Amino acid sequence: MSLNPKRRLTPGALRFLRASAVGLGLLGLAACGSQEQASANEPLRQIDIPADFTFSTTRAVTVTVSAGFTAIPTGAKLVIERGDGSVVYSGALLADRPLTLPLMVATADQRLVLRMNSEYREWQAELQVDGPQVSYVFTEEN
Amino acid sequence: MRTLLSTPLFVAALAIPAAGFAQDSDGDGASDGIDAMPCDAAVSGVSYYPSQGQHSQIVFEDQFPADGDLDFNDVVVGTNMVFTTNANGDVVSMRATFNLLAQGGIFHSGWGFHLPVSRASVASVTRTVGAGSAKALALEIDSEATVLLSEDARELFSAQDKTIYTQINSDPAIAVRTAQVMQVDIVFAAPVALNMGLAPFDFFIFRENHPELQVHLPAYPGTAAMDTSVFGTQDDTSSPGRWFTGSNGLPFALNLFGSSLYPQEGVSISSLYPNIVNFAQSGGTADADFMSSQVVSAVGFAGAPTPSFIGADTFAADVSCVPAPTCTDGYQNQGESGLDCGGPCASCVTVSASCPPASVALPVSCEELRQAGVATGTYCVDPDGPNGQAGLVVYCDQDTLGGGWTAVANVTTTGPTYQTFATKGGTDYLAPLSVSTVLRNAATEVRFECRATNGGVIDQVSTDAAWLGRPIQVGYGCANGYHYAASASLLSTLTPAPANTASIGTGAYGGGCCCRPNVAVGYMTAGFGQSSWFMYDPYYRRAYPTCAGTSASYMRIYYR
Repeated sequence: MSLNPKRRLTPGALRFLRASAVGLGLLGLAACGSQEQASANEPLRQIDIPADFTFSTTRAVTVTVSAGFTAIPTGAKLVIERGDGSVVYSGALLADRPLTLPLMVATADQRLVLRMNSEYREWQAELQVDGPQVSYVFTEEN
Repeated sequence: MRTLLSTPLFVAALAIPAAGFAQDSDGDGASDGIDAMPCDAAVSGVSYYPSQGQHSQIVFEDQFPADGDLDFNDVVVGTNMVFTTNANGDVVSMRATFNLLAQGGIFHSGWGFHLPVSRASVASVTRTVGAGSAKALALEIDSEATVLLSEDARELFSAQDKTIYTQINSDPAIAVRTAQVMQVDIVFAAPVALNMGLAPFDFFIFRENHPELQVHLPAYPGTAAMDTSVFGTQDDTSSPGRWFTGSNGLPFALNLFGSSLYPQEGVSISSLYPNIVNFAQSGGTADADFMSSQVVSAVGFAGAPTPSFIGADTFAADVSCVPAPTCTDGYQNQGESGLDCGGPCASCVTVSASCPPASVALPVSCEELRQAGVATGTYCVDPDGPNGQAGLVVYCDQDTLGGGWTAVANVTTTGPTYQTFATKGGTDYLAPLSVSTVLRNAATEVRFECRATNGGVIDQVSTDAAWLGRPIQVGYGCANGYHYAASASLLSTLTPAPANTASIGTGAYGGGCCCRPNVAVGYMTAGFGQSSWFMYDPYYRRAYPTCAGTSASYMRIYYR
């Protein structure tokens, strides 16, 4: 098998290399330090990686939330959650202005959950985060 | 200048149970009940990275510009960031918590932190290690905000640990050591449009005593102190927009967002996370969940156990400015049912046998009076509320079937059988209100009493179907313009079965032109050994009260 680092590997070859790497890892490769060096069979060295790829696992999404009605004259509490339910924002949403928050989402994340609570009732909405800017307007109906 | 709280007693930012929605103690437009900081006029929300109570790992290879072994455990740091924001979403201050999880490299590495905001926008930076006191840090000479957090992050381990161990928390054969948490508080001179979506921003390491030898995530080119002549030497393949990359475009630092594992010593990251290969080859479009899918956890390391290494990630909500709720504070709080009344305060109900001026808040029903402990009697109520008709004096029955009954009318049962109250004779308690509206909006039960001339109750029935097994039906049997009192099928379903069903009949009652809601029809089976019938039409204020027996001359109608 060629070890040409620029050669695109087949899925079968990748599986073999990954399995080999796992096995070697379990056996304990050379310790790191000033002499450390990855195995020549390291799969990450055998593939073509796009020239502009930075290995980022997150992306920035600007979320704008507003309440398009007058049912929250004293404002409302807004909570924004990730898909797993963990909270990324908690605070006030005023009736007279939208709230714009640049938030970090994982590359794999597809949605955020918006929960709004006024003294009268609660709202909940699911927001698809499929672009760099997303917005949502709470209404009486939603 | 604003300051951050550093008390170790952290509470959930919005846990302010005593405050009401309307009270706005700091005057920032966000009432105390929704304000993350009810005593700070500049702050109304809190944002979290990666999320509240969670952390994310940044992992480094420290051999830059020479390739390493890709185990990414030379420096492993868990991070959590909290941002206070104003009502527009601008950042007022931030707190970053850094937890040294592993020091697997033999180099001693310092830490730095760079934010993509101007240097002048930062008012202060303080660093707190463990339970120590906060120490002010100076910003580096740079156009943007850069600060060196530690010359050698091994200081976070105990003196013994950092002396004995060359590498810490990368070899599973060696007991896990726990480092002190480093907390960094940054206060901005004015709310700043910091892109929180770029968190964890530019956290970087540098070689001890050599701040010019830095290692950053690939999105960042290094600070002003960076020795850029290093780029392009040895294995480095950096290019504008993708810095700190070795051979084949592999990074020297990764943000393992959402992961709790990093590779053990000498194990490539692709052995722990096999799908990172596809992730890299696809340019990030495939296997973006590589940190949670097909993970080979046997070759991973979690460092110190969670959650002890996660620093506190919430600010203490200062509620010192929020006055203790009282019955005279002008807010509906502390469980009050009205403004400074009800709950622990005096009753909100005005009890009066005559109707006071319209400006006085009145109970809407006898049920409200009952809840306030008011006994049976004649009182002023305002069934349609303060914006409708003036209050009315009504009879309240607080003794029968739990009480809370508001009398609608007291109608004679003699004479024509189906007429308006006025024609039939008696008292229309709710005139001139629309009885129909009152019942539709307020009533959940209707009750009828057959009364003797002397006022004693002879028989009664309510919509409480369980009461003596004598149900009434509200609005039942509306067809062909008539209100049917009962039908054979209905009668067959009643338990217990009513007596004298023959006298009840199944015919039409009312003789009206239109079927309307809230018309009550029903029967009584006790009392005289024969049926007593009623039909009550609140829209036209008329009734068909057939109290059986010679001594029953009035039917009193209630709702509650």
